[in-house]
Formats: sequence, structure tokens, C-alpha cells
Amino acid sequence: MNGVPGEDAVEFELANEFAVVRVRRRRTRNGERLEIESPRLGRRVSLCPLELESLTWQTPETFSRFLGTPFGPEEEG
Amino acid sequence: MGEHGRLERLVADVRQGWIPAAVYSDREVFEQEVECVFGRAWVYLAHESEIPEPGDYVVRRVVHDSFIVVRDEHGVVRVLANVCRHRGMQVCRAERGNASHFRCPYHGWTYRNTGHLVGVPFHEDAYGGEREFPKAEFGLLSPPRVASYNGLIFVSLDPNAPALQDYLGGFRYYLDFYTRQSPVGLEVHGPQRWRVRANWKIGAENFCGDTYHTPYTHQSIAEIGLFAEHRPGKRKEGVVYFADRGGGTTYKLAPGSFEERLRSVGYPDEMVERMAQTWSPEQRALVAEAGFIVSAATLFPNLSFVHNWPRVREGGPPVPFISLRLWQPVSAGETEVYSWFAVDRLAPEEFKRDSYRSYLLSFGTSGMFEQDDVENWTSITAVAAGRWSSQIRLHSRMGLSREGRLLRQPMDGWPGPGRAFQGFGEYNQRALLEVWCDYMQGAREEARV
Repeated sequence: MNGVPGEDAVEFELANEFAVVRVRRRRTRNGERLEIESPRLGRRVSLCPLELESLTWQTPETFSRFLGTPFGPEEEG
Repeated sequence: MGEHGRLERLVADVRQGWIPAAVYSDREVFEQEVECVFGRAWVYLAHESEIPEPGDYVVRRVVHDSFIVVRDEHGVVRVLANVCRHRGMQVCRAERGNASHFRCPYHGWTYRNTGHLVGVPFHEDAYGGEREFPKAEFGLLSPPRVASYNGLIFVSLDPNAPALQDYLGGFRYYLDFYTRQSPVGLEVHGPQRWRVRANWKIGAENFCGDTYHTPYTHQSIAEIGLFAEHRPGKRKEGVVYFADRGGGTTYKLAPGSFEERLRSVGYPDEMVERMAQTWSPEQRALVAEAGFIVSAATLFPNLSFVHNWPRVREGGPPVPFISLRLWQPVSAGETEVYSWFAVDRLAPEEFKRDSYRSYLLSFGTSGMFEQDDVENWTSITAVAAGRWSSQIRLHSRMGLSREGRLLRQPMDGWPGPGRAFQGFGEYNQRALLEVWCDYMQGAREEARV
């Protein structure tokens, strides 16, 4: 049935020698998000269009800051 | 001491055109080359068109030193040592890829593609944070010198190396025929990469000036009609030139104007027009007045070029192609060959397709020239490793009298820099090895004119 919330099939996988992510469109009751999953780290993030849009004005330095802890938050480790 | 004296004697023989076969097989000679030749000369790594987009990178070597050639997020081309500053792990292990950041596979140190270290796991706990371990001090290192010419990216591991422009010297005039057929320049595809059990210098010498092997080694290529004209004496009419640190071979063209002559080797009018606009009057004169066109060439130490124009269809017109190749030394007896197809970026799509086919038929892993050549080179290298035969002095004196006088004088009125001879002769191989001798003996720029 159309419009049922839940997990859609992986749309695509993106990889280089450093990381692999699986990307899928995720439908909710009233909208949709983009889900990015790291199978290796066992983490996922679900981003709405507004969050995704905000990525378009970030600089490479922002992402360098994200990677300050290169494989996720350390307090959990 | 004794070893040093041996190398000195060997170099002295080479300068006379008497080449002790050991030059192509000896481990000590190779170690000296790693130090004095590849440790000091400008060495080719990559072409800018191999990394067109931000994040594109290729991994290349200068013998045993690994480098990442990358275009950063702001479009700046950088060369970074592929060595994690922590334990020396290779940060990039794929041969090519696209990434904004490189994460070391060992402990996860993460570098931006500018080389800056941006992530160290447990930075605070393990290292005492920025106060005790400022990340800015531990970025990926850059080799001492990096420079480019017509999109060709070179490095030198010698901080005192001359400027690249000066190193190339007069050879730049010839380099433009391959790499600057329009103001935009080349796009390169590949490389194909394979290993041959041959010393790296044999290919470099061959491409630099060996017009003499063509009629015999490549006889079968003539027999099947890959080339429109295949008289055995055709190469004898060509000129070999050498300028500063590189030299090459040419073919004599039939009478005609600049346009007619370039059309005769298969260039479409629009490409000929761009060449006419891009090349200097002195460069145009090589084709238009002297009537020659470049073929194979080598820039010291190990970058070679091919320009040839086989037929891609039976009985059809010739189609020119350009190839770049690197003789990457692995050891004294083994070489990794990198072979790129190159074509002017503004060339019509149809020409690019045909030119690629032309390249594949003659060079690269499927190329007929390649099969012919390598059989000779591996055999020479095997012989040169013999306990006794390594001492034999090979004759590389074609074009010289017994006393060492030139049998033929350099050409008068040659439009390009350097020295040019018409006809068969090992002038270029000697000139290339003369540069090799200078480097082996540690001479720097001051010693050469």
C-alpha cells in the first residue's frame, strides 16, 4: 500500500576506500526523510529536507569538525 | 670505497658510449639511482586531467615513496606524502578515488584532503588535547618541490632542485607538441599498468632515440599494413633531437604547407587550426619549414611520449594518437609501466574515439609495438644479470668514429633548441645517459648548461 510509514529499500550505496553508507528514502505518516546508515559503525541518521538544505551552505571545514572524532562520539566507546 | 671506485669507472665507461651491461641489472647501481637520480631529479606523477573534480585523487610513487595527488575541496591541486604521521601507515590504499577526507586504516587519524589533520580518536584522553598535541603540526607532509607544466605534475625530493622550467629547459619546445595542441591542453585516460622484467632505463633510452630498431623489431607491424607507409629506410630520414634533459625522434613529412602536413598524418582541420594558433612561430617552423613531426621522446629520467599515426581501418586514413608513459622502477631488474592515452581536450569526439583505437592497436597492453619491444628488453636485462656477461661493455656509439668523432654534423638551421641529427645514430641515448651520469655523480644544476 502506498504511503505506509516504514523503511524503504536501500536506494543506493555510496562508498570509497574510507567509508560505506547506505542511503534510503524513509516515508513517515505525513512526509519523508533521507536516511543515511553506516553499516560498519551501526549508526543511522534521518534528515528532513530542511536539514538537508542546510548542508548546501556548509564549508568543507564544517565536515572536518564533524570528523574531529573520526568514528563517532567517544563517550560511548 | 672500492664500491665507489667501481661506480666511478662504470660511469666513465657510459660517458664514452661503452655501457657495462651491469648498468641494467646491478643492485648497487639501482640503489645509487634511487638516491641520486630519483632522489634529485624532477619526476612525473600525474596529469591534472586525472583529478578534474574536488576530492579526486590518484596514488603514485617515486620508486618507493608513495604520494597522493589530490584536488582539494577548493580546487587546489596538492601532492601529499601517503604516510600517516602517527605510525607511517599508508593513508590511501586505493589507487584512485574521491574523498574530502582520508581516514587512516590503522588508528583512524583523519586528514582533510588539504593534508590538515582534523581528527584524532580520543585526542583529549590519549594525547592531552590541543594543548599537548596541536593537530596543525601533524598534517600530511608535502614533498620538497612540486610544480606543473601544461598540466603535467612533477615532484622533486631535492629541496635544492632547479625550478621545473629550468630543468625542462629547451625540451619544453618539444613537450608542447604532445601536451599543448590547444590552449586547453590534454585530457589523459588510464593508466594501464603492467610489470616487465626489464630495467627502467632500457625503455627510456629506446623512446628517446632508437629509430634503428623500428625496421626490424617492428617489421610485422609494417607487414600487416598498420601504417600507410612502411619503407624500412623511412626512419633514417627522421631527425633525432636532444635539448637539456630530454630528447626524441621525428619523422620527415612529405612536401606541403603546415596545414597539409598535419592533415597528412590525420589531424582534422579544426585541430590543425588550433595548433597553428597555439604554437609559437618557431614551433610551427618545425612542421612548416623543416618538415618534421615529433614521434617518440623521453624526458629524464623516466617519462616517455609517443606520437604516431597508424590506420585504424584497413586501407583507411591514418589516425594520430598520443601516449604518455612512465617507466616506474621496481628494482634493478623490474619496471612497472604506466601507459596513458592522451588527446587534446577540444578535439572532436569522433577523433577522440578513433585516436583511442589507434593507441590501443599499437601501444598499451594490447599494443603490437609493446609486445615486440618488451621481449627484447627482458632478454637484455636477463643477460645483464649474468655473473660474467654483466661485465661486457655494450656498444652505444652509433654515429661516432672509432676515435669518438661525430660521423655526421648536427643539422644546420634546425628550428628548435638543442642538437639535432638526421639519420641513424645513438646520439640521444648517449645524451640521456650523460644526464644520468651527471646525476649519478651528484652534479647539480650549476654543473650543467
